[in-house]
Amino acid sequence: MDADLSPYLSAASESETDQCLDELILFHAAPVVRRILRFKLGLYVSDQGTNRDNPEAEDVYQEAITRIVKTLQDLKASSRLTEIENFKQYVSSIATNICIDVLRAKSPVKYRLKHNVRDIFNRHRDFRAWKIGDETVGGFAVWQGTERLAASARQIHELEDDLETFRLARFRNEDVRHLPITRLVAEILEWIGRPISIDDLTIIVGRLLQIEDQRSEELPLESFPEELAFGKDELTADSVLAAKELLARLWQAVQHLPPQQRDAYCLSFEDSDGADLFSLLLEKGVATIPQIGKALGRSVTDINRLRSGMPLDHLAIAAELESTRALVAQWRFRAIRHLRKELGVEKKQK
Amino acid sequence: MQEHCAQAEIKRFAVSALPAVKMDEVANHLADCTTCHQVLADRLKGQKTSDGLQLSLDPVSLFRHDHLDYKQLVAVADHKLDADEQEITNLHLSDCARCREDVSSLLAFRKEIEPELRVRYGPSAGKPTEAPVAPPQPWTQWLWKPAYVVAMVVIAIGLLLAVLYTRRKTENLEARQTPPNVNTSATTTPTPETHVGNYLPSPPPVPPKESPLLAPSPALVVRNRETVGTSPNPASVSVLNDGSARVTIDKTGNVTGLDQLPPDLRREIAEVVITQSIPTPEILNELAGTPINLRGSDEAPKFKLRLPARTVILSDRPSFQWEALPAATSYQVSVGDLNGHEVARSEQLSSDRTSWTPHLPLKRGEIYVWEVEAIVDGKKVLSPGTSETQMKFKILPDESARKLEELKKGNSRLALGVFYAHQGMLSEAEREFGLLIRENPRSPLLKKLLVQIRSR
Repeated sequence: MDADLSPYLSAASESETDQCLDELILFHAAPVVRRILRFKLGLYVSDQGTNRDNPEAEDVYQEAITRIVKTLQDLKASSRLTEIENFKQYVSSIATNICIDVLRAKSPVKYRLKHNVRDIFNRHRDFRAWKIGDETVGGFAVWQGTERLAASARQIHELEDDLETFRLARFRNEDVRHLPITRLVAEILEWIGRPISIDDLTIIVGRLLQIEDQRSEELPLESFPEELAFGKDELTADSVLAAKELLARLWQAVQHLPPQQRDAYCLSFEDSDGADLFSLLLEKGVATIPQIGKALGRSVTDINRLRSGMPLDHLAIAAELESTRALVAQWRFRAIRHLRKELGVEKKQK
Repeated sequence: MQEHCAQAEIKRFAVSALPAVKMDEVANHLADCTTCHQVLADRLKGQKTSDGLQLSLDPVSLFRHDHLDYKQLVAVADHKLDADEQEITNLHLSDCARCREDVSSLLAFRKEIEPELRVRYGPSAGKPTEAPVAPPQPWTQWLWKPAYVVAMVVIAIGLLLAVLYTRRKTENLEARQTPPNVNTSATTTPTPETHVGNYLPSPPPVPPKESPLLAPSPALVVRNRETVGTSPNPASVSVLNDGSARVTIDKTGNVTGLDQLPPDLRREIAEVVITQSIPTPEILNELAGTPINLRGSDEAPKFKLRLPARTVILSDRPSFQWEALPAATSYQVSVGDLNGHEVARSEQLSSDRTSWTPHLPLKRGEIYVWEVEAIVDGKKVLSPGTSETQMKFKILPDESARKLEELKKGNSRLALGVFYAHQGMLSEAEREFGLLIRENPRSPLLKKLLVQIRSR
């Protein structure tokens, strides 16, 4: 049995059990889950399991944590000796299985269908997409600016529940699958009589076209490696001293980057273990929090806040830097290009 | 903070699990205290797999999760990426099969949908209002080139001005005493939108206030009656039993249950139901005729012509029927067109005959006038009389007759009733609505419509 589990399993009181469970999740499970979600799915959550820009990331994280907590509670209740010899590895396998479930639930075909539907609204002059509140809706171009309300959830459900009536009314004697999507979209809009969210519209079009979810056996598991290697252009240091020296060089180079490139790189950085840059600088003794703050022109409070969420994805960095995801990607790309030269990666390749 | 941090504090600091103020305190203390900093370093090291360091500067690896969203896909498809964006995108695509497939899929879709972009759609016509323009037609291609469109706009403006000028000149010639009252507000400059509309089938007239700038559909009549700015209530206006079908018409003009009908008739039905009125077809005014006073004395005995009477009929060999005139020894029926040419004449019919059917069919789509000449005591008695209006009828045009045959196959009394009413076939419309009321005895709408038909 893993020694990390011992305090929890041997806790006598309820409060002691709760405290041990809290620590198991906080110190052992959460960092592993975060890392797995980043590596496997590119889903980023903070130390607290939050991501204000990506609810999906929060949901997947919470599902993993919930499953782990349930396993631990069952383990405690069963009074049996656990077969878990490595808790972190066990957490890793749970998180990986959840990632596979997430991938299986996603249908690339439907994802592409949504792109196609959106494209119609962007390109056909008789259709328009616009925002109503936070939602992007599509409708006939002549509806734009008329303050029509978007289709209600009830209307959508009614149509979805009785799609056959709609099909017979509008496409009798026609094979819907062979009709242009523009026609389907027009008929749906006419039927509903209001603009409709692009997501809902895509679902209805998908059902009309009888697009099925991707079956699990079709999941390209070969593109889902157990451990994600960094691949080429790695910088490695095997000893503690060498690691500190390498990190110091990197930190020095980073500070010479233009501010936006520097910030984009710092906030997104992670090493092969999933450690963020600020934690790594602390661990290796290269820089303290106040020194990091000074280098980046930020307060200690700000650096602590940022570290709790790091590494950040492009969207979160964009929000932090009050920019766009595309610009952040560009800044990060230019930073990497610059650092490759500074740290001799280009020369090494030649 | 002078004293060393508690182990638990450092442990929680490592995973950012302290309150913000405490985090700041610990961070500042760690910066000055090598002992506590070492505790933190050990703690952080414990979360790692080795003492060393492994980091990557491989852009392909670092951008592996930077999947293309819709905007990026569009930028790729439209070649609107700058050099850096293009390089980042290529790096990602080189490693991500799914995004490669996303790009291919969008490009393929665009190619497939290209002809459909020329098909027009509008709020009350889900089906294309214009057949897709086939690319091989060379003349259609230049319509879409901006330069030609601009040229056409200029030509259209020129024509408009020329027409206005000519009209004004004519008005001046006709009313030299009065200066022409030029209403400048009526001379609208064609916009690209209105010009584009010239390629489309002409929509029926709609009130200017409700007419959209670009009328994409030929059948906006019902839809555009919605007040702009209010949300349409799609709840059904009427649900009717119609033979074996259940017909639903909602406020936005959607008709369900009559799926086999052509869209234009569905729209006509929706309009009738929504407006609760059947408009009088123009043909009925034309058939009503005007009184005549040129055919001799009105003191002669009278008899009435019964059928066909100021209506549109299906048969091209109608059965002409009249009331018997006492003491008549014979009758003769004559049928003429509106130009006064006789197109059919019966033989002298015996006194017991009150109907006659021509041997040859009459031409469809034409309006005819008919009369009957009775012989009483050797004298001719005409009906209609000298002070009565001519008895006209029209034979349903070929196209409408074909439509009617199709409609009859559908067994929809509502469709037939509306069709008959719109064609001016009032007795048939009355019959269909009467039967429809039997199926829908509580429908005030149908009763109202029947009253309107009977009042004509």
